[in-house]
Amino acid sequence: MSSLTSPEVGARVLPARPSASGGIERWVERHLRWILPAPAVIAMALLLVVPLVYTAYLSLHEWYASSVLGPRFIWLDNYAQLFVRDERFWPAFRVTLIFTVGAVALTVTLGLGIAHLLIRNFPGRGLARTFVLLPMIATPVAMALVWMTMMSPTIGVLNYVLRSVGLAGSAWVSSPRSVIPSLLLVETWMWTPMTALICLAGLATLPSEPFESARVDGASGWQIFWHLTLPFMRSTLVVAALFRTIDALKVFDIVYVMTEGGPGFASETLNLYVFQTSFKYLNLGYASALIVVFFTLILGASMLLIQVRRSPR
Amino acid sequence: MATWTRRIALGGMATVLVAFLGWSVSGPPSVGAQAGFDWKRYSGKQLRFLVNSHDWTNEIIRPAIPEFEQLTGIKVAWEIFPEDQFRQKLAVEMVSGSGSVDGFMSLTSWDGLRFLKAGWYEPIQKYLSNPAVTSPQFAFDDFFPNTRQIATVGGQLIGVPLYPEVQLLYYRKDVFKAKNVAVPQTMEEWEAAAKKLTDKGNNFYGYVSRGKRSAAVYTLAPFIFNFGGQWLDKDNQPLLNSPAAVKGLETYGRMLREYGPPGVVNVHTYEVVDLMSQGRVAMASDSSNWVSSFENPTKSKVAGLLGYARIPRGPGGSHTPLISWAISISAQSKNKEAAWYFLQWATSRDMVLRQAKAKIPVARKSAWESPEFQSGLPKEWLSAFQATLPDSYPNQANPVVVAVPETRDAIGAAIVAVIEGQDAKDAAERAQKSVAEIIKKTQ
Amino acid sequence: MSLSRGLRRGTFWCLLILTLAFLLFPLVWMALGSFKTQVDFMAYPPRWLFRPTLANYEKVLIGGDFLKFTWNSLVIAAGSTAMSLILGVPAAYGIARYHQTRLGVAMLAARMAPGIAFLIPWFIVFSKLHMVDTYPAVMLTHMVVVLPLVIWVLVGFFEDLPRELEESGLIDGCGVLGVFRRIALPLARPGIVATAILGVIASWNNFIFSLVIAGNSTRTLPVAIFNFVSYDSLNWGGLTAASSLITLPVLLMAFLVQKHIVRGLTIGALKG
Repeated sequence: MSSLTSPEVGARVLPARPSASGGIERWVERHLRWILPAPAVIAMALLLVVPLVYTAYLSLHEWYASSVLGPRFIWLDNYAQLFVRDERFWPAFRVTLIFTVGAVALTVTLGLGIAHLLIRNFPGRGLARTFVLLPMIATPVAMALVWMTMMSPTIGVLNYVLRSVGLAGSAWVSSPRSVIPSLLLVETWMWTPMTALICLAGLATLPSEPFESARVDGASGWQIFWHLTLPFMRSTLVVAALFRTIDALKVFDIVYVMTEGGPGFASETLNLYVFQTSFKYLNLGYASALIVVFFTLILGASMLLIQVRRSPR
Repeated sequence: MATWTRRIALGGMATVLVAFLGWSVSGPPSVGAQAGFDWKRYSGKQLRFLVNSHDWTNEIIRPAIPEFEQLTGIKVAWEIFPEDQFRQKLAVEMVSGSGSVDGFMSLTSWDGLRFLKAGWYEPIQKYLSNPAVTSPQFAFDDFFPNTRQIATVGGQLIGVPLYPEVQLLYYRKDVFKAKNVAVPQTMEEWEAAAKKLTDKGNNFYGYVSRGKRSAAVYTLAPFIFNFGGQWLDKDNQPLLNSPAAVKGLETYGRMLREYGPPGVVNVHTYEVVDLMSQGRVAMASDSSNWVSSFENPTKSKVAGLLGYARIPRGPGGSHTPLISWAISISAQSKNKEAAWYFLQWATSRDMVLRQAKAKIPVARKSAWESPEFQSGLPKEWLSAFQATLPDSYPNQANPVVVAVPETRDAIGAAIVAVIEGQDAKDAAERAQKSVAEIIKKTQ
Repeated sequence: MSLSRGLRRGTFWCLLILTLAFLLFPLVWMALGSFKTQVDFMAYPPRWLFRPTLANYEKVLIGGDFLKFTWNSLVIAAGSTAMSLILGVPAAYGIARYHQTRLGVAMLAARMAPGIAFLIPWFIVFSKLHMVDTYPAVMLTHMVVVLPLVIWVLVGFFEDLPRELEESGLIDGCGVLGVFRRIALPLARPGIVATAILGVIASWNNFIFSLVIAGNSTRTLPVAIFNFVSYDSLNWGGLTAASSLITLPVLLMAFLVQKHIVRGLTIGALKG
């Protein structure tokens, strides 16, 4: 019973109740379906839609904000530049994709695993659940900085742990090779609680008979998981993947704070590239084009996942 | 009886009143106060300055703001941000054109062309030559001529210079003595010294400088100059793929890679200072300004142990950039005269003397030659600075173009690539191509 | 039978403890570190036992503007959440009651847009209106994050409300508005509380909008700590002390109202 993403056959109209008092209240009642959301919609339109439209419009112009010249209309030149001649765009696109796929895969898998742990009834479950929540609630910028101290190549505690079990220390965020896995580690730590919660809620709604009968029939844990849990959890997993995909595509805080896209441009995501282009280079026209492309990417990925959720098995 | 009590009371009050008036007219001695110049002319105005985080902004000016407010009746919001965030914030605010900023710090090697083109600077010559708004004590010719030149962009004086800086070689005298290493005079000696002094087992490294993308361009500059290179040719085209530039890039990257601490590609100037102050490196090259931090025993473990020298010379000699931050008035300000009052107060003889006492280099001759400055700073620093000055290239901290951040990022990427072991020639070619493209788009 | 049961139990507890250790370690590390002296922090191998000091907290709380930034974060979180609730609660009810699917999807789309897409136009507008670095401006930007969250979660809550109660209200002549005010709202109170908390946490943690729109007088904690650290990058004691102080309020909130938070998030997720 969901009104957001499942197809609904039209909207059910409420019978209009004749109310006791006069005309205005009747009018309000009749039009309630529009009046209730109206303030929110107007606010969002002003805060969201108008700026987006302006950004799209600006993407057709050339405008360096620091020059005295105003925006100059150049048709789709920005987009041509972006796709063909920009040597930072495609690497940023690649970094974003790798990061997103990694982040979604890791958090959803781990989240599902943790949900299986938390679904059981054990003493201290409430406390454990609260503890699991914490990484997600803690302020990302603050925690990213704490992770940086742990990841110091020379005196960080993470390398200490690695070295004491015989492995070499890692360069973590100070090498182009290990920077993305390092960021993925922090991202996974931070957002697995969210997927765990979603999966937990999903697991809780699973019907128990199929599982019981499977156990009676002697199916192994793995078989149960593969043939029962996963199919039943499909919808939930897609929802978790959807939210994580959107958030991972848009990742900003931890990358900006930990690497600012470095070393070099090794961890520069699209979002970060847009930010630099807007607020460091002040190339607002081109940045707008980047934003349009970026937003389209996010929309596309989301639509894809929503379709996956809707498609019947 | 009652009448007498009343008279005494009235007399007492009158005395107190007169005394109070007399006191407030002559006032407690405050910086810049003298008869004849009306400091309170713009009393009641409010100013907002956006500035870069530095010892000067944090330790000298910020605590003294109440003095200014008392002297002039002008309220000042002094907003300090670390460099990267400061530039971003300033750019965004100036772009909006709202006049929300009355003044700012500006590094003309970085901002000069762009701000001039955007019309963001308010030239200050007209205020300087107007005795009604400039205190007779200000004495602008007390400032060193080359600092005044740096603060002049496109023929306009756009601000008051604050602290001139060149680059120096910082080295640990005690470690050099213990390992019997002489102060390097040439690039080869420098690299040899770094190699000899690196002790990875003990987490001690021979050399550190900036490795972080855009920030490293500044400390790469002497390497390029010392092999005979320049940033731009006379047609404003980049010379990044010249043999000299490639050699400089290669040497810089190699020294940091082999003899620098792990994670050097994330090292900005603040980390260079920290690493040196914590005693983890034998040598560093960076801005001459940091002497105040190094010699501060509360912040630095190596106070008193450091030596200062000219950057070792290469085939092209020994040249570093000479730059200076300046404090400027925003052309969008609605309180330009009041902002000028703040500028001249902050850079007045007395305030600059305070700066000198705190061991921060100064742009005023009187402060530089003051006994406090001369005795407060290490002799070696003074002689190294003075030796470096004549051969330094004004404003050449990076190619002097309009789109400096983009250019610095492109060159920085090449630096990081070479530190990571990539071929210097390839990296230089890539940077050359990018920067040529950037210049074409933006000039 | 009992051996494999025991083994399974053992594995379970092992995994659970490993998981909790992984998730909690950075937080514990942060808290421990905030009491370390600079010397202890820079020591390698890392010291687990050390003499605690309050110097870091002193340095962060006194002398800086930490309290001012905390106040700013509080005001902005409260303001943006309040505004989002005022606008969002009726909207969520309307969407739930009238099955306004498309409106709901539109709200979800709001979550997809990257914040950067709004920042430039916002900044230009706020500057022209002389609203930069004011509470209302920052609150409005945070609302863009909090309002869709409010609606998304509350639609699920409202849909869960038993229809019979609402229908009996209608039969009694309440009118939909009355049903909303007198029946739905009180019933959905736990949901509203959950949403409010989620909203406050989202606003408290926000970085990018505050980075660009807030100035000196409205600077929030995440931006403040980033600035503080950039200047004094090896002051790990100060960093962990500041981080502890910043995350403490939201972590406490998580503890106190964990049930509500979980319910809010999962309802929103399952219905979404």
